[in-house]
Amino acid sequence: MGTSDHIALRARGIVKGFGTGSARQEVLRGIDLDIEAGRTTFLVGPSGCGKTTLISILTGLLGTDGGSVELLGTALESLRPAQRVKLRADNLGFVFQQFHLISALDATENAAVPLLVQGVPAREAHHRAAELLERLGMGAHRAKYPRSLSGGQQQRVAIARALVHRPRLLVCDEPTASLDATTGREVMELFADLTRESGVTAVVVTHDNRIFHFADSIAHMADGRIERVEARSLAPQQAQP
Amino acid sequence: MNSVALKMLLGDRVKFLGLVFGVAFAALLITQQASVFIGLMTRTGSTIVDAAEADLWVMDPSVEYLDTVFALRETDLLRVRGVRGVAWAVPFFRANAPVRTVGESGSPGGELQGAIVVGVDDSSLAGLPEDVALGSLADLRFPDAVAVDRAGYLLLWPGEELRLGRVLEINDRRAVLVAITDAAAPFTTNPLVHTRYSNALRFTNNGRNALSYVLVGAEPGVAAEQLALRVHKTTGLQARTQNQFHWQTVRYYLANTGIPVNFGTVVVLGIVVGIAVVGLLFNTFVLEHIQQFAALKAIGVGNLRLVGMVLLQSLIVGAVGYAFGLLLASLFFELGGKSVPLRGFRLPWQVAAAVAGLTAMIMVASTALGLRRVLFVDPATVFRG
Ligand SMILES: Nc1ncnc2c1ncn2[C@@H]1O[C@H](COP(=O)(O)OP(=O)(O)OP(=O)(O)O)[C@@H](O)[C@H]1O
Ligand SMILES: [Mg+2]
Repeated sequence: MGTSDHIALRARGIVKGFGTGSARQEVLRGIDLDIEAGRTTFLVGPSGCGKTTLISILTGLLGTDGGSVELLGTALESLRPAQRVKLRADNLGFVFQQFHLISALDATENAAVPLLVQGVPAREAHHRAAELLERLGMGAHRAKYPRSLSGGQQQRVAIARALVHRPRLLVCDEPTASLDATTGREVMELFADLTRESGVTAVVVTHDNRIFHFADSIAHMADGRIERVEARSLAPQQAQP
Repeated sequence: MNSVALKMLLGDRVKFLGLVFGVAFAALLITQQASVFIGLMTRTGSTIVDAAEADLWVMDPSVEYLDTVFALRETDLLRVRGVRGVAWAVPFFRANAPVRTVGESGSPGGELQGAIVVGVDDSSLAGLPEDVALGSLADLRFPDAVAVDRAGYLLLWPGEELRLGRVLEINDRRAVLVAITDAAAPFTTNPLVHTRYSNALRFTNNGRNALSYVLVGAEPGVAAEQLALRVHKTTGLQARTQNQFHWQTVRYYLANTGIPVNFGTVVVLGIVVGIAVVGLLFNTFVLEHIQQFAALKAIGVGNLRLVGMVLLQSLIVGAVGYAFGLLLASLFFELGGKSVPLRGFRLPWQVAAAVAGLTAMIMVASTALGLRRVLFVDPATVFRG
């Protein structure tokens, strides 16, 4: 992994715009960002400032107009599309605001998907997924389908899916935005426990200042740039809510 | 991931059934129409099929197909017999004539039908159909004796059970029913009357020169095609093998009737409606799951794998729909094939195979749009609400 052992994700001079001609809109205007390995970094900023665009680029889901991304020691620009897909399958976990569970799969099957993608046999994949769901307090709901789960329960399944294959980087976009305050808190507490335990690097995009105390550091974004990175206390759970 | 693809497909029970129904309907429609079409075309040569003993059909050079004959001369029969390789050659007569049933009291019973009268060689009776429902074709040697096919019997005596000894009038000449055949169904729904050549001429008021065809049996070891060429060369007459003449007749109907266009239209409609319905449903299915596909993409399912998943879903829909449609079509022919109007119609394996190909085509066309959507969906959309 070369020089950046403690840096999981390094972005330099990321530029990105949408549209052409007069409709052209520069969204990212030179992003420099280092995400420390094993820590949870929050990415915050006003709506429309480009947070989602940035994490799409950082995870190789979206191309750039300029700049470079080094993800887990690999320069994304140097990878062919298929290699990028493999890099994600092996190393990344995702949690989305809208959960995006597969409606036809039950909780266990949903949580097992990344393992199936990696080629783990179904039995083992389901076993591991079920164990993780148990940890997330979803033991009684393992065989339920998304439509019969509450939002908080669905997000727990989504977290299980994001972690089941022991990724090195976890990316969450507004993980609590679809949940009420209490549920959001509960989900984040479970999330924090699991990430701390597994030592995974996490990037969390959020508006929700009620959960800021779960962050090890907070990167503030505005107008297409990272304004400042704020280091939080080493014992975030004791910070004020 | 294949199991995930399957569960996605089956998870939407209503859409899955709709898709299967769409494919099944198209497959059924196409199979049924194509099979009936082939059955109808086969019927145009039913007389040729019935006279299975004949290796060759010899006729006037101007004859284009079975139904319109130009009489040969009696001497033509002798000339054909003289050709090397001909084991036997017999006269064969075929014409239309009105036939009427005669009641038990002797008064005309009134049921009038246009019949096809076939006359076979008086001495050998060569050229008769093989299957007999009631009676014996040997009894055609009795005076005025005729055989009528079962379907024709039901036209002449509707609703009555099969019984021999009944009396008919053909062109006002008395005929007695001695046998009921299960002859191949003719193209038109007319009674099929088999009788001796001499009777047939009498029934149809024809004089001596009414030889429609000469049927020829080849000597053992002589190929029919070779013999046909030789008969033609030697006599100048048109000589065709059974198969050649049947196809010649089918081709005439294909070229000179609206039948292929009619059936072809329905088949094309089946394909178009199939593609429209299945394509629309499949597209909706993909659209409803597009975020789930996008999520899979983000999670690390490559395009190749996604294409595989969608194709698997398409394959399952196509296979189940095809099987279902073919089952229904088989049932149609299994049950309907026993009825009088549909007798002899069946589902040729070639049609089943061709429809499998067409179903594959329908599925490819129907899947293309959805597949495109899956391929081009921006995985970054999973982050948007
Ligand atoms: N695919 C796209 N095409 C055109 N414009 C886009 C596209 N994606 C994002 N944008 C624009 O880029 C800007 C930043 O969008 P982005 O979603 O990254 O913001 P965000 O910080 O995540 O906002 P929010 O907090 O509301 O989620 C917005 O003005 C948006 O309209
Ligand atoms: Mg956003």
